[in-house]
Amino acid sequence: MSFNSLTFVCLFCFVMAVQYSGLSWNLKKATLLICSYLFYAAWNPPFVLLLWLSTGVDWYMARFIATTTRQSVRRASLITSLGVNLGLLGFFKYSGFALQSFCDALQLVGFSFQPLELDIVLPVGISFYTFQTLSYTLDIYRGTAKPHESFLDFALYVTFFPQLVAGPIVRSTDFLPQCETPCKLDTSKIGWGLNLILIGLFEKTILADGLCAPVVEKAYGVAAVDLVGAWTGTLAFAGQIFFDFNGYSLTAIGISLCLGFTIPDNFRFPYAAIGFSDFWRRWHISLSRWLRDYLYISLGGNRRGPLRTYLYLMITMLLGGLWHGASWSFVIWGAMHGAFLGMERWLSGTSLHGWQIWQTRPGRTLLVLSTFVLVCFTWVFFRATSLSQATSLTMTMLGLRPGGTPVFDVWTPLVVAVLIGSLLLGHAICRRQSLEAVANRAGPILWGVICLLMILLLLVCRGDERAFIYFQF
Amino acid sequence: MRSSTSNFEAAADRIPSRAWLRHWAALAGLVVGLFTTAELSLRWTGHQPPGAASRGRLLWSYHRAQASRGKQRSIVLIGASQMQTNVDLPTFREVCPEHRVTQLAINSHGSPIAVLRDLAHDSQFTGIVVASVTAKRIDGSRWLASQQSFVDHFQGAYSWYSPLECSLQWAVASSSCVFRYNLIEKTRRGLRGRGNWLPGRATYHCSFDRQIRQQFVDWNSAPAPATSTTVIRSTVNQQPVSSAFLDKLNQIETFVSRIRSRGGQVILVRMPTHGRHWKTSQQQFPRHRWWDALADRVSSATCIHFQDVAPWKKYHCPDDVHLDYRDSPAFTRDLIDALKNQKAL
Repeated sequence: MSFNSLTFVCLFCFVMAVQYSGLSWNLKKATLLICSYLFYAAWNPPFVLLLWLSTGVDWYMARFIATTTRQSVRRASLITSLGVNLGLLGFFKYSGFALQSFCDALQLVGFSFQPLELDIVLPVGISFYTFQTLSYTLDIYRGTAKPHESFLDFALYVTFFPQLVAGPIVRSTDFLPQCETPCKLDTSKIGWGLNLILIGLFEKTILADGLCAPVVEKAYGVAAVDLVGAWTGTLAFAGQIFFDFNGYSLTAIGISLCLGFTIPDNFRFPYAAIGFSDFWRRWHISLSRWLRDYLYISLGGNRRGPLRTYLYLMITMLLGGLWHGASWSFVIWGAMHGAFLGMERWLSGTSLHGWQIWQTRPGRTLLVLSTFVLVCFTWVFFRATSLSQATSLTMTMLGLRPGGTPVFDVWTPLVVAVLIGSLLLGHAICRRQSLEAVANRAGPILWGVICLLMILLLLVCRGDERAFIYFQF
Repeated sequence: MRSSTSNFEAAADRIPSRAWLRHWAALAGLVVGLFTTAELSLRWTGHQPPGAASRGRLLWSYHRAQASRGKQRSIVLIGASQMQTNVDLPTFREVCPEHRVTQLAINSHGSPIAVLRDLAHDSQFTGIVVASVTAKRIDGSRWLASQQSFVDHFQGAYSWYSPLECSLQWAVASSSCVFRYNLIEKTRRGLRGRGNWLPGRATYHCSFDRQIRQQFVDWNSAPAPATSTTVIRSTVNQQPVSSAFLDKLNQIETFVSRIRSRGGQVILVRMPTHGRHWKTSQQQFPRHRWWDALADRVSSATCIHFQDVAPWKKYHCPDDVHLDYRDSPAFTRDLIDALKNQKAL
């Protein structure tokens, strides 16, 4: 069930009515939990069993870890939790990819093997809720959190529908305390939550689906596109993926606020990033923090010398790439980010880093634009349907492959340039602020006019509906 | 207790201080006022609620699900806009009450072979497929891809709650002109000099069962629009039928055989076209080479070309391609007669 469907509007209205009714707090949470399962079952009802399994295993393993002092039992419980969660993720997401890669490797050494075709359906949102539940067990194992007393609260933490299928990935220590005190009707929370929902739906429906998606599909739908087409398509994808995912995250945060819950931000004007480490502090923040806290730091972080730091950075980003999808394109996308992060780290230790020019406005603008262009090159591998298409498009964008089919009229590149230019400018202006600060500065009249325009455009501009991109992960 | 590592920063901590109740009350009032004004203006300028989205994936999936269900034998219509405009479903159901007729043609998505393949691989489907095809669409590079996204939606995104979503969307779309005005598409077309901000010389309405009622208003009083289908290319195709085309026909034959092996049938129909469109089509894909090759290779299917059906000659397509909705009931009866003559029904 997508946020931009009318069925969801009905479900949301029902949940809101229950949430602010006179029912007991436990009954409200139980209703929220049932509605969350209903929301998830809208895609494929049997996959709710996976949610139950993940919830049950982590709940009991966390309790074992917390109640015993024997290190072997603690470790065995943690391994069971990791094994079940990562095992499910591995089976549903990576078994086909692993088998195909194995066959390709055999073919390289001269053996031919055609395996049975695995027709495994990927449960929606499995990567998100797996990481979310794992963080609970890991926090308890590390001693940074205590096991929660209420199973109902824990089940709601795993299943809370606004962020269940595409994040933000919420930590138990942020969410579970909110379940302890009944939420009260707060007009400022609901009012601002509705603003976030409006902005999110506008970004998704008008900017991502209406303006960017048709351009991307056209550019990435032909075998060999020309230079203008390759850049137009890739810039449009940079816009599409931001508007799509940021739109989803804002809507999720807004819905949570309306229901009285607070979940963390996921984006902070990422295209104004200076360098890749800054980019990952602004893009998909909940995932990058998860990877930093539970993978990079667990591996050793930057405590074991520069060479190992580069290695751990690369491993983290490779696994981060693989988390997005089971294909070599995503692995290469992760490797590119790992390489750029490593390069940035190396450059920061040279004299180049101290140049005064980087403190000036032109210097910073140059850094922002360079980061954005490099991010765009990585997006090619994220979006392309095959490695050969990604390579071909990259060569075309670099001007190393002349020719190609022109796919756009004169207007499309112009519209995309204006849209992405405005996006970059907006991010650059707001890079040190939050959306809330922007709303505060806008004043009530200007903010009201902006909201009105967004509502009117949503009413008259509905085109083809597309699923949120991150649902497939 | 917040995690020492999560660096939790949330929107709730920074909510702008404002009278949000007044903000939303004012917005609601303005939206209702402007919406009513827009609705009245659109109706005053001749717009009508357009009904369902003729290219909507959800509604298509809803009808696709019906095609494989139930005890009644199913007749599935596939193709593109010609099938959606020319065939009148109430007439079809009236003449063939023992069949369940489903419209799965997709406006502006030329080749229906992806849908034919999907039906061929659906073991539940044992009905009759009436497919509107042209050699040009099959020869094109997107012959198997152009309708695949609809099949993908049906297989991947269609769920148990989708009928409810379908009904809700239909209720909204059939009640207002504003919801489907589609300003982005109109602007895009306007930039290319093909804008239609006001109702054009053809008006459309798509019903819940996906039939498009297209009404041509005073069509002959103005020059024909420069749509892609009416552009005559100067070159005449003298090339023999390509081996790639023949390979595609072989694949189609396997899909048809699969449906026939379950007791189903497939009828390939070349719908009537006239004037410049037909001339262009003949220049590029002369019937005696391309259509005849199709009829020869796809031998498991019944093939009907409009030139071979005498009663179809009386119909006139105002835009060279589509019939006016007032002609579609009679055309549908003639189509059923043609199917019966070929023993396809």
